[in-house]
Amino acid sequence: MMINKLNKTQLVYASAVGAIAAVIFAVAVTIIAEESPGFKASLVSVAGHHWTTKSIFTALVYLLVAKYVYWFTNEHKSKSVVQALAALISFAILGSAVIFLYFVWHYLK
Amino acid sequence: MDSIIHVLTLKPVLVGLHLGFAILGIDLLVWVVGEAIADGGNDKRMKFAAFAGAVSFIMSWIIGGYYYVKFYGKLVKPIILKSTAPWAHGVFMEAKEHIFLFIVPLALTVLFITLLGREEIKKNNLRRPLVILASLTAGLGLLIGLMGYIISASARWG
Repeated sequence: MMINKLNKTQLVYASAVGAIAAVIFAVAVTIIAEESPGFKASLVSVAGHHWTTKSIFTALVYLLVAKYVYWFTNEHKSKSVVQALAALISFAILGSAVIFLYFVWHYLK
Repeated sequence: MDSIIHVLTLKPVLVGLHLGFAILGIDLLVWVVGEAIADGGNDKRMKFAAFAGAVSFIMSWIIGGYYYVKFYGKLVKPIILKSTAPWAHGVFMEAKEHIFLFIVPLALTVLFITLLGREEIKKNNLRRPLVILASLTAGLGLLIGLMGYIISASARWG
């Protein structure tokens, strides 16, 4: 089966890095779109709704970064994989907190 | 076929499926956590739970996204903004729809860890990160679900 031919440790590392990129992108595009009506309008023009465009682009960032890391970086050993996963966990918590607190601030201002 | 699509795109059905798949995804990731902590049984169960969990979150994302884009903005958002709890949209809906953007990459990363199998997970010291990441993804799913409840409640009773 195809999955058996993959370097699975490298796949985990690549996915973790891709997911970190997705978190950063999602947070950035969310805040920039709220602060810039012109940017938000440009997101609408891509896929008909700003959220749809953000979804598609976040998925693409994840896939493209993960693919690049998997194919074009040196093989990563277990210590790097653990570190990448620790970083992903931190970014996911921080990203969620930033998004929530941003909208609290945005609503109150 | 047309009547099946018609039923599947009814608003309460869409909301029910969105919520149903999200609950399934959360439960399946909790199963992964249990398998990783218990460290017993075979690899297939853990891999199945992680795979089905990722698929469930993808389905929740697609169905919820369709409902949000097609119906929420026109029908529900105006009601909430005029209610006594406009913050239900301004804070909780906005936070929910944007945090959800990265739930699927998290769930896929959990899946890829489980594909290593228990022996490789242990050998590479990935058991603890797996437990934490799967727990975090399930936890974020629960938080997002709670936000969804707040939004629905404000539309109904606000």
